[in-house]
Amino acid sequence: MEMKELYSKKIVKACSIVANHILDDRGEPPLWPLNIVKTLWYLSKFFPREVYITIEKLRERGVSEKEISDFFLTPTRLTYIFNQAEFPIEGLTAEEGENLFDTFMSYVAFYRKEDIYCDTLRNILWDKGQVIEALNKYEFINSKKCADWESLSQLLGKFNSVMWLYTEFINVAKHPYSHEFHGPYILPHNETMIVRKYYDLKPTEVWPFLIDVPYDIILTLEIYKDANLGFDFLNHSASSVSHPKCLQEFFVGVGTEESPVTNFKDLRALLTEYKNTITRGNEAVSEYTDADWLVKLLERHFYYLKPHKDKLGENWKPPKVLYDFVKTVEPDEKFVEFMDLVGRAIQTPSEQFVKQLTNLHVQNIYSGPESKYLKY
Amino acid sequence: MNKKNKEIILKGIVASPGIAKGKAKVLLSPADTAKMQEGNILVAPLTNPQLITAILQASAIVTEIGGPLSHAAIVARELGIPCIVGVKNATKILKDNMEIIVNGNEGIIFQENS
Repeated sequence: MEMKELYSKKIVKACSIVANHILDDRGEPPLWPLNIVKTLWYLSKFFPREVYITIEKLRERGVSEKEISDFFLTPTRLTYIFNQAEFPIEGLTAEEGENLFDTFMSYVAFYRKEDIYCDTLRNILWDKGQVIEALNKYEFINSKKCADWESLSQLLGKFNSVMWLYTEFINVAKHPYSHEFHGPYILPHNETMIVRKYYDLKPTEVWPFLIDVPYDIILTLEIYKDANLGFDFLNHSASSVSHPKCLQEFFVGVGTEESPVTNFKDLRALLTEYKNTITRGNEAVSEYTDADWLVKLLERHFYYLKPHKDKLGENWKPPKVLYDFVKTVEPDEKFVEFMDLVGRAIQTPSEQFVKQLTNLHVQNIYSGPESKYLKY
Repeated sequence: MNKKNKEIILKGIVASPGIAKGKAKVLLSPADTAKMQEGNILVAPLTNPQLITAILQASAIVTEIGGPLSHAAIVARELGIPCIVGVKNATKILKDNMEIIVNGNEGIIFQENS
């Protein structure tokens, strides 16, 4: 039987996009703070199952699908979990696996107004009315309002770089869990607007050193000219231009009040706050072993479910058995097999590699193995 | 760009456009960030948050690992500086203080002949 008849089309499509993304790594997965493939091996053993159980409990309590999706905060938090299908999703039957990953895509559809897969690098969360409202609501800074626009536009680029590295740090490399970049929204005169929401920036229960971080949420709206900016399914930004050179106007708002940051001095101070926090964080983890990072990975992922757990009246913290698991169990032969597969990415024709990886991901969602490591 | 007296020493994948000239600094550990100065060219296996100070000082980035959507590529485009990724053996062939030109438009690294 053809794969398309056996499996959910939404799942197959999403897995093929993730496979294409892995192809872009050219057989060399990110290695900071540890091999990202290794982290995904661990997550596949507990996180999708935990999400499934949590969603089911909320459904039993009569919580609506829209409300459950809102607890995830952004669509990218949902799509990013597809990465974990690099390994068999343990503890769910084939039917439960399909139900969970299909649910993710139906939740994504609550947010993404056009293509839920961002196939054409468009992550459209606002309709035309919301775009117009934003353009009127926020006071943008531009070259007419700033004497040294070149320096200011470069500073915004530095600020976005710092925030990107910051989200990478606090999410143990999985930066998209703390940012939602959306757009591009087409404006007249070859201009486009993109919106960046940095959020969940103060998970102090996971990272105590974040206590002095000033804001949990930062919003930027940026208008570019002649720039081919875009965002993919996993919220990675794609472009072939130097952003500061194409920037025309921008707005930066901090906190839930979206208080505007209107000048060079204040933007530099904000950048410095988050940069210094990363430096403090680097000091805090300077002696970390892989096991220490895996504990943070575990806690951070359970913390993504805090809004759901709060609704259920449950503690967000992982059970003890999971701490023991990440500290004592080493990845099995599937890890070696997968590393071998991605290592052949360059030698294998792209189409063949993507097809091979897509099949593997889909089968991992539908594999329905018993939980080999965890029974809690 | 005048390519006379310039020798192509490495090639990689175009990740962020622009051309920058400067002294290479090879960063193999977070401690190596201390040797970076404003305008130097950051050369590393890959970038990560532990290199934040060096990244913000760099006039260009060269990494051995990654593609157009890799972390180094994304950060470099935000900064508006050239970046070439997937440059095999960059940290071995490029040496500290070597004067190089990073052509992010073509994915080529030159060394100027004296």
